Amino acid sequence: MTAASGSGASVARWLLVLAAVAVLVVVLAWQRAQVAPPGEGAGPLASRDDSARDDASNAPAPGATAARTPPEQALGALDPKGAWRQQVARAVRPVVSERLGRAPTPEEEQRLVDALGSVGPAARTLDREMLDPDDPKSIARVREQTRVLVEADRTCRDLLGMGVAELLRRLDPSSIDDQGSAANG
Amino acid sequence: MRVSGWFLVLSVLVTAPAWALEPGQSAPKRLVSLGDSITRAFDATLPADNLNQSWANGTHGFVEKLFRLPDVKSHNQRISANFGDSGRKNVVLARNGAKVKGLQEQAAGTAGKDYTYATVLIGGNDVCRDTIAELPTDYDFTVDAAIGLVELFRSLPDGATVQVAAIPDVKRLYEIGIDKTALGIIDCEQLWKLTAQGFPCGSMLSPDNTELDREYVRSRNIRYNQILQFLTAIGTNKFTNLHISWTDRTFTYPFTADDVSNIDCYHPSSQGQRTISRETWNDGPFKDAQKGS
Repeated sequence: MTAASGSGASVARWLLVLAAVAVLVVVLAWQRAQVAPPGEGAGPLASRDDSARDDASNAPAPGATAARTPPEQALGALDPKGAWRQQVARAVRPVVSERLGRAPTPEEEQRLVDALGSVGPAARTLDREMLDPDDPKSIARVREQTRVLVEADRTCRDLLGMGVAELLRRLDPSSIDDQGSAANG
Repeated sequence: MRVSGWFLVLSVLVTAPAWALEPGQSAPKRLVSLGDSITRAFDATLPADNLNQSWANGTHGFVEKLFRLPDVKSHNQRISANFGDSGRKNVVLARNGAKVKGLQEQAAGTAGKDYTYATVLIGGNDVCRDTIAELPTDYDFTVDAAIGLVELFRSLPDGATVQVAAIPDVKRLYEIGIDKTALGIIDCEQLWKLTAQGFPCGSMLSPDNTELDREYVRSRNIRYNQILQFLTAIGTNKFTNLHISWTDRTFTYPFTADDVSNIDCYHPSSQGQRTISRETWNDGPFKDAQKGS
């Protein structure tokens, strides 16, 4: 009798552990879906808390925060690329609408998100690339990723009259107090 | 008892590292950067300003993570990591195209703001003029730099820290551009030629310059750094209420092709910005504070 109840308690403990692991997996999948950019499976867990820990002045932009997917849409983790595109579209929409004086058309939005989707992978590749002057592939990679960034910037300028860097800055203007831009030249 | 023990451990972990500060020195939580387009991370990754990748003010928060942008581990980020998030300020006064003559105006913007940490990286646009004939004389450079630095030192509160960094070796940047051209990554010489009109570095990058010309410009580059270092040393002695330091790592560090922008073959890339941040931090007043590095 004692052995049986001990065995039952043990099973219950294991069930509890399994349930906790399952909850953890769902939460992690949801968080991953928040930031996973297209073409990159394993994004960092960039929760609001992460941002705050990284830097006091890195509070998420209001637009970006509003664009967060609620937990009930955690199944977006099954389509991280789609979820990422939706999140980016929602995040940039207020800035784009303000810039254009109207809501962007679906085609404009798609072009913009396509362009923005190419920025991260290219920037990270360039940032991590240790150029090997003796390797033609390394040189070609650097050249190609630079072209991708310039092309994305051109698309953004065509659509909005401002570059990608400026657009991204407007998503979170509070992180850096820029008092030097007025005299840019 | 156990709770108070944990509280003690947590307090030790989150408190600003006192060992990183000198007596009377304020924690560098209120950061302001003075300088030029290098500090604004111009063309670092994307065309134009990339402030989130500035060696001084860069950030890596939600937006940067969402778009998977490079993390340069800036002074701003290191300050938060080592001294905490509360009471932070992260202000850019640096302006594109600024010369030493414009330092005074930037410095005036620090008055009454209680900044506790100021970075100064300026002078690249004094070395980089349209023509060699336009390079400032020793006298002009000294007067302009002195006026600007004194304005800054007078404007900061007691206990504040200032780090003045040397002008990068512009001839080294030229040589890297030539290397990039030779490797076929980007035709920097063609880029410089196309943008020669109004490009802020004809004195070094103009295809019409001889090697002797470039050596001369480099000698001016070195001279301007000597002047900045001298003035910083005077400031250190005169303004004993402040913690003023000089670093020449921005000049002496052997930058490579990866450190230079592929967009304009001149400004630091994201890797270059990270390098500048690391080298200046590790040669600066808070080098013992290594969280976030």
